[in-house]
Amino acid sequence: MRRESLRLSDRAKAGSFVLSFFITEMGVAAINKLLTNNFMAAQRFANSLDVDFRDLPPMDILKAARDLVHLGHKLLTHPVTSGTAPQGSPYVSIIISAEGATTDFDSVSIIESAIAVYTKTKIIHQLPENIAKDFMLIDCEMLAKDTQIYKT
Amino acid sequence: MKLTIGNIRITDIVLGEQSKVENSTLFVNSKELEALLLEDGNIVSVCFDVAKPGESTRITPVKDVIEPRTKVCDGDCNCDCGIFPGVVSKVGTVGKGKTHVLKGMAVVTTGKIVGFQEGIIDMSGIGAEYTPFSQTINLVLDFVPRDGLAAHDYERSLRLAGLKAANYLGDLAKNIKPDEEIVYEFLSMAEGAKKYPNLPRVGYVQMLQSQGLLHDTYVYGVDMKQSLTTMISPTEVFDGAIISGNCVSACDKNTTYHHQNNPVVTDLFARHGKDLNFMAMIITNENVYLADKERSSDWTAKLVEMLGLDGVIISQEGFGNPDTDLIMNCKKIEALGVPTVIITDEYAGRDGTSQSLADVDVSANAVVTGGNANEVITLPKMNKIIGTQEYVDVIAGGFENNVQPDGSIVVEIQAIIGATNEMGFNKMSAR
Repeated sequence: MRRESLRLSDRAKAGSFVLSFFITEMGVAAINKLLTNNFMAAQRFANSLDVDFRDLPPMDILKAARDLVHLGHKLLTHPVTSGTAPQGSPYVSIIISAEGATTDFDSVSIIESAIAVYTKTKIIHQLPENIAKDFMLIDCEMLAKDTQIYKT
Repeated sequence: MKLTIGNIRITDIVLGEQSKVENSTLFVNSKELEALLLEDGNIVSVCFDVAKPGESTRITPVKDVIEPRTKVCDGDCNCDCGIFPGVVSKVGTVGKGKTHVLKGMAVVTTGKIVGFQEGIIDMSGIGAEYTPFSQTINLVLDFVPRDGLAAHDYERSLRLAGLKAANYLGDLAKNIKPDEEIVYEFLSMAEGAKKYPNLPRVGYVQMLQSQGLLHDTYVYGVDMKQSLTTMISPTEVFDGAIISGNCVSACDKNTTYHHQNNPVVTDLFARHGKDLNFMAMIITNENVYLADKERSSDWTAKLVEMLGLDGVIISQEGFGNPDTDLIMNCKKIEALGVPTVIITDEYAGRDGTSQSLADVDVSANAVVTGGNANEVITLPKMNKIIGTQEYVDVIAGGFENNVQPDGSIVVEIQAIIGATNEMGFNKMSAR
């Protein structure tokens, strides 16, 4: 899965380069990034987002998102999903803007709060395959809209 | 808009030959009802069961809870409408005329949509103390879908089946004389302002879960995530204008029953004209994208300003990132100089010492809490399970190996339907 996902990520990045170039030339916006540990989301959004799949626990995804936020990326989706997570779901998918010039302090605040939420919760890691797939599906569905419609 | 609610007390449910309401007993011809529900080809079978208060019965996983109601307008309200408009009945403005309610009972739907679906109703034991639906006589519908049905389609079929069943039962009460009648009248803005010029103008902002599959709410059939923040007459919610498609976060999701009996609305009506002037009900959504959250909370605050309200109550649904919607709504309304009271619940860790919300602000200085959803309790073994207990260790609030040798299960109260409801439709109190 790890190897597949890396290949997928490479494909997504190649695609995103072309798309980014096109969009920039059109004077719109650079492509947004999907940071995720959900392989289903990585596949689903490979053609619309710059997919950064990492086969890591949720907390590591959040910390990676925090690093990106401090580099000037802005959170476009809330990192704490609702209802199912953070208690049960081992999957986190966050859409982040392309790199900006300055740090967005709202994003800093939100990602720090999200890390605080995950710090106090117990994630179930060993899930039966069918249930893991259901969690992947819900995680995907939370992002299921036009992923390019918002300006950053 | 003036609506008369006629409550018809139900003290027993009997599965029988003919569907009818007689002497406070609801008789259900399950074959007839089954035939109606199986018109949806996505459902292969439905099993009917009755769960009564005090029985050693557990219902899980609960999809929705619905109160049967019916419109009995006699022409004077000029409406040709039905309960659950835009979903089960045709589109038409509800919230006026007369509505009959089967009081003391509920339709409860169960069926596995996803493997971690949740929601427990215990009819007795300590768990019963945490859910209001241990006090209703429940007609439970347990559905089996056709093989290979996608989660989206199954969720929709289950949602509609519960509403159809409730409508079928509610219609049985059209010609029954109610045991009590309650009149709710919601005046126009101009009339309301004129009638009580010296009372503070109070509005209610209801936040509706709208994040996607298993996390949706519908208003007149419209998926709320597609809507801008808007207004509704509070009498409309009594007629099923808002329905739940939300299957997660059992303790603080609003079932359709909660919407039909919204206690913020009934309490505001009770104090209307006494110490406040209930002027507006605003409904807004809880979406995933931060831009949506900004837009919706901008609109919430804008409507509060345009309506000239003096105070606002905000109720949340769910937990996690809706905390951000809640705080955005609170901050932006408070910034107008309009004080708010927010109703939420807490995820403060099992020892109650962690930060309760995922987002906070100093302007959120008047808070009503439904309780700490992380509180751990042990639910005793029940003699009868309706649905399946197969997933209690993966539901929100369950955890690995939580089924004890004696059959009891250890869960956080977030696994229990309505335990920390953020409309205040629950029983926990510090009093």
